[in-house]
Amino acid sequence: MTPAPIPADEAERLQALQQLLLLDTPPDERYDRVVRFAAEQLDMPVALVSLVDGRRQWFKSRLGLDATETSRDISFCGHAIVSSELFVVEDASLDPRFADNPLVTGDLHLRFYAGAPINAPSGHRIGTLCVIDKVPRKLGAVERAVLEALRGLVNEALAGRDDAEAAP
Amino acid sequence: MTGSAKPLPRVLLFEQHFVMRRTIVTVARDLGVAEIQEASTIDRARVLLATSAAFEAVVLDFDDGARTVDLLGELRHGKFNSRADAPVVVIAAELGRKEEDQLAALAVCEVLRKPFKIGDLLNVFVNGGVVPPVRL
Repeated sequence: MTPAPIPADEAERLQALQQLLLLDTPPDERYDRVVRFAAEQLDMPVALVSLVDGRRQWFKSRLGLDATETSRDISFCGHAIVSSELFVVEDASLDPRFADNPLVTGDLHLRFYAGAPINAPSGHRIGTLCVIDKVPRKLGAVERAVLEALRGLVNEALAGRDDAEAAP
Repeated sequence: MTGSAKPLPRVLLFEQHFVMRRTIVTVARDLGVAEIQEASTIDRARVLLATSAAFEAVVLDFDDGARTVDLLGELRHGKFNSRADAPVVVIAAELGRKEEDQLAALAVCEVLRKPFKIGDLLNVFVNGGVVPPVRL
């Protein structure tokens, strides 16, 4: 297993995360409705808004998962935040980075993962909007675009922007 | 970039639910399917139809029932800038026989039942020739 890497801007990233005052806070409908919609549109049993803290990932919103957090070293989201691009693992059991990861070999039985990094208003990548399946999957163009669009809504919520109609 | 790319077809979307509405708008734009103008209320949709340039297609949430039918009737009677025969897609959670007949009489080209996939809506545009062929 390849432990989740530490980004070069880790100190600033963690500071940006702490400043949001989101860790260990109660559920928030703004994030929950995005997670529900992601699971529905992509037909995924698990969808999360995950915040990658120093030693753990903590779930601000979760659907289909009982755990509220996992250690960072085994987290897929820890890998996803290294780049701004969508991070997709189509079959974790065939991927040397994850094949012996406890999330793959254990009860969760994770096979498919897609995570879209989310940003603090400062631009630092603080976590992901991600979807998980227990069987290998591929994402089509529309599904990728949906996940990207929903990532944008999470970023807007993180920035405290209201639900507004786009100006004509 | 020279700015010579053909503009995307303009589509009006009335959908009350924020996440659904904004996601449709963003996905349609990012995939090069359509430039969607969004309305979160039927009143806002009416204003946009009355004041904006013509829309090539219209998508209407049926949650507002009779008022949606009224707006569609006005469109079909040529009261707006858009063509009276512009393709219309209705999205609805529930629909009775009476409503189905009303929508058929108003030449609705497709009714999508909620929950539906955004790809299904975009395919209605593509397959109906509202927008140029796009591989989705």
